[in-house]
Amino acid sequence: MLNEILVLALLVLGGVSASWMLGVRSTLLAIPTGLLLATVARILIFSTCNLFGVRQFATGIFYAAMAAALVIAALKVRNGLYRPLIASFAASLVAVFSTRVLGAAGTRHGDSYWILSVSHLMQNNGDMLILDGHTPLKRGFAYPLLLALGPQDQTLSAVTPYIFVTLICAIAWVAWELVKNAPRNRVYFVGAALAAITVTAPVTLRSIFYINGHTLLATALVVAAGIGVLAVRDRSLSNSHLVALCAAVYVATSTRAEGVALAAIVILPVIALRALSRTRVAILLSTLTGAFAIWQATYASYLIPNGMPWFLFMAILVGASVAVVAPWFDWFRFRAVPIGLIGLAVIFVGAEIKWHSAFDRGHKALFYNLVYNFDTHSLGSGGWGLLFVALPVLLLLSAFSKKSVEFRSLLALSAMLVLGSLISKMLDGGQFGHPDLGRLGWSDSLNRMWIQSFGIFVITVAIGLIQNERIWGRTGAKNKGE
Amino acid sequence: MIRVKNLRILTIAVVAALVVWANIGAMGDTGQPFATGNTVFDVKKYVGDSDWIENAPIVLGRNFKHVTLINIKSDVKGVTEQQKSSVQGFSVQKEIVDIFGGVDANYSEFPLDFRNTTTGLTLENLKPYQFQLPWEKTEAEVHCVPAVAADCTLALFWNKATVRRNQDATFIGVRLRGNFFGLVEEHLFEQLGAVRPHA
Repeated sequence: MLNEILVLALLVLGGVSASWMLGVRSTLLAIPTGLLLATVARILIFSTCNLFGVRQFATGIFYAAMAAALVIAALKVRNGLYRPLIASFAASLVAVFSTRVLGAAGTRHGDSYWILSVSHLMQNNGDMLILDGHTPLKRGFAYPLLLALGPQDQTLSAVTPYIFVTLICAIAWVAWELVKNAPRNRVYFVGAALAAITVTAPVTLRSIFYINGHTLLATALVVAAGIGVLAVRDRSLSNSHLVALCAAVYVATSTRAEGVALAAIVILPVIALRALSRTRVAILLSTLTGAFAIWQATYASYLIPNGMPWFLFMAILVGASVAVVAPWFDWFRFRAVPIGLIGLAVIFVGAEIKWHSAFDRGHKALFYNLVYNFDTHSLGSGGWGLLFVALPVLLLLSAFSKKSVEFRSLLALSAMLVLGSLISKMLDGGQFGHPDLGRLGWSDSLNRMWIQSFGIFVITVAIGLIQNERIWGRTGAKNKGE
Repeated sequence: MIRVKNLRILTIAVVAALVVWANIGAMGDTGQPFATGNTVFDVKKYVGDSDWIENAPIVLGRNFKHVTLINIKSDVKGVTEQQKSSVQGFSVQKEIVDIFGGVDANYSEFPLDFRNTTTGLTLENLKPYQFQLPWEKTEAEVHCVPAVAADCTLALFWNKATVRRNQDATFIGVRLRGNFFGLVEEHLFEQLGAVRPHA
């Protein structure tokens, strides 16, 4: 247990220190950003060591990097740093206590066993070429690498509940940044209502200890979406937010196979910003494609065409993404959100039509998951209770009013994340010959994909309700600032 | 303070209360969201003791010094278009074999077919040697090869009197009934009078 406490403490304190040094001076944002930065460091160090055939040094170098970040931050930017350090250390202690003392463990599931197997290989310095098949690709890169930091032949069990803590911090930070000028009574009332319906949904609780990359991807998506929406509202993006955004995009892309698509969706509002310099857009886009290329170059490289050197693959991917900032594409780039939304809808409908004609299961499959996983049996076999019934109802309440730019951005992101998840599931199924939309039960991958985006859905509904003057009338306005 | 004079505020409160009440009720049906009291942190043991569809090589690897598997397949490699229409064998994932070590696998041949055998190597004669799996069952679900819409089952068989733990062992994939497959240790295989085609 001591080993796990020390490793997790080093990871979270080093990460938080790095984020503080890079200008993230909010405790609620520094905690998730710290985890994201530590994850990026872990991936880059491991990939570089793998490239030069010295994987055995990867973990030691990572520990040294985290310790260095902590020491440098303590010496240079002491002002206020103790707050996120104490908070994140306390959270890591609670996480270790929950798994190592109380023995809390996630629901057993085949995907978890796959991920544990991949982390076992990484921890034991195994050859990454073993993972060149299509099955390991689905297990991701970032999350098994974090698990592999555990004691010999064990996983870093507490990192999973700690990731959930960072997700809660990320949701709280985004929601607070968007509503901090609203009357407090509205914020508390809506916040309490949405928190209650979210934390009582069985899958929300299940995701605390469930061994999979969903919550890590969710944290990255919430941070990226939140920063993007704030940038749209303020028409600017600070350096510290750009760092956090890039870390989020990097981790989202490296965590699960669908992460690259979902990360591309959540950054659309940012890359459409006219106020953002071309250099910054290029940095953001190259982070997205570079992260995916580094993953593919390290393992699961069956996506790299036969015979193509990994650096050429990386150059093509990064080059193609950076080309988007060229002035010729400005018309498209500035309209990235509506084009993205319409494009995803067209792809989804087109794929449904194509596969409906090719496979008998077509449209039946479309409703199979959506209906059965949210049916009335056990309030939905998907295990979400009535959360996904309540959110549209509450969204309807907030819809009939003048919508702020941030609410419109969140609405568009939510719609695109729904479509993106459906399309990702179809591609996942298509890879294995069954391009349908899932099966009955909580363990269906589409059903679990909602773990990745429910935070953004909840924030969207919260902002819609809080900003709708027609709901609150003069009562709410009177209490502004209370 | 909010006065409930607005129907919309009341609706939010009522929706939230109903959903919380329903969600708490649903928890009884969906089972515990997580387990408590876990004491197993060793990955090989945690995974190997599970009823995971892929863990046959881990279970065998833990019982012998070194294991060789023959007459098995990984995914659908080596399957002709014609063979893809029906079950030809069962899958032992190459990645799992390689990750946990202690096991070599030869994927070149499909399982030997003993479905029409009535004496010698039959399921009835193998039953006394069937290994009790860690999750207190004697059969495991396994992926069919090719991955057609069918359920395949796998059981492990060896004679503890002739092959002991910490020895090397070779296991042969056999098809016993329908989509029921077995991995039979080679001494037991020969003891029951079966002959390997390329032995």
